[in-house]
Amino acid sequence: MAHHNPYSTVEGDIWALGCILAEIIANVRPWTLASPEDRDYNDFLVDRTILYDALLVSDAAYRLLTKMFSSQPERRPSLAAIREEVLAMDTFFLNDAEAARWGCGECIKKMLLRKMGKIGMSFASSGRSSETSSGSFYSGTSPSSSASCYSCGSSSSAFELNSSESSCLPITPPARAVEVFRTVEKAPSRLELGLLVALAQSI
Amino acid sequence: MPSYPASASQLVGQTIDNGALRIEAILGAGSFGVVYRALDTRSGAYYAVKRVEKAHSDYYQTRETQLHARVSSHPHVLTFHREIDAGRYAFFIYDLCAGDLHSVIRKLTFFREDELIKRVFVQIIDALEYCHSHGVYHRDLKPENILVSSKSGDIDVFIADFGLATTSKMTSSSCGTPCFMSPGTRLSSKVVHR
Repeated sequence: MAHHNPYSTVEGDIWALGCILAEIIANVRPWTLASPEDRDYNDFLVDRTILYDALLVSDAAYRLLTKMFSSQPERRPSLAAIREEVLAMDTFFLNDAEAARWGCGECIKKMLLRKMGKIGMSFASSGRSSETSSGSFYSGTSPSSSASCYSCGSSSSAFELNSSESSCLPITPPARAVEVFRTVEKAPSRLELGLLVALAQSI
Repeated sequence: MPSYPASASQLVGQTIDNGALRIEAILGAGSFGVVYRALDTRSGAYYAVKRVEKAHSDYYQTRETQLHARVSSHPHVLTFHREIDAGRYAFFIYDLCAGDLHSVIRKLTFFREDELIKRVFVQIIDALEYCHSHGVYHRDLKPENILVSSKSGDIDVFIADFGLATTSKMTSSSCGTPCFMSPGTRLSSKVVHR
């Protein structure tokens, strides 16, 4: 039998609050159970930056979440500190420049493949994946915007920006995504949404 | 549509508390009992009414009621109004909300809405801070237990369901919803999944 390990109820609530913040931002739960046998949580333990790929959060939101998800309860921030950070946050969402810096492409591809399994889809036209990737599903506002390929994992130069003003735009799914979204019954996560758009563009 | 026990739906259309509240519809049901929408026949205001069979209304229900009442006056904790003793059943009267945070998230309401996220999340933080400063630790925080109202035109949220709340700063009983349980919580052996 496992031992009774007393835990602090304050820090337990703060952990749950981190899960809620992650879900509000990304519309996905980061893991099913905070235990090494849970694949998503284990990935997080191995490499915390997986949160960028899993949740597509900004640097500031990533820093806050990883503190709230500290394995050592006493290292989690107080409610007052969380409140202050939240109010000071420019954006909770990953923007193109951050995506470039973290070279998210390859991880996101793996993530999408996993998610696809869950929602019962496959890359029907994977032979054209290089074309698919050129159609960004989280690109900036204009089609010529340089940030594109989340799906192909090509070099991070793909994320380089031509103008400084676009660098502060959070990544948005194009109108097509919204269209596709309306055709699915259960609201998908943003990753699933991106996947659906990538598929739609590759057909 | 879920099917409710005959006795649960029979209550719809009837009044409780000497005619003060008219039960109008079933909102939901669970192991705890049934939740109805009710109309205050004098003021015309709507409330959520939870009916619990007294045989099941044991120590845990009493504790939930006590702890919820202790923090209920915070603007972002679901307001608990009163308990009505009605023979076989007890009724618990709460503010009526439009839905829960889980369904709002699923509608992609927060996508790229930084100011809205701040508004909602700070409301949750403030309510939780109030609970903690009054010695109430929730232990089952999740979007499903945060209710949402948009009466003011903006989204307002309210912490609800104090069924697993405790006054202990340290505990060794493991409880909560697996997705939201911290690693430390999970290591304990007595598990109450919900």
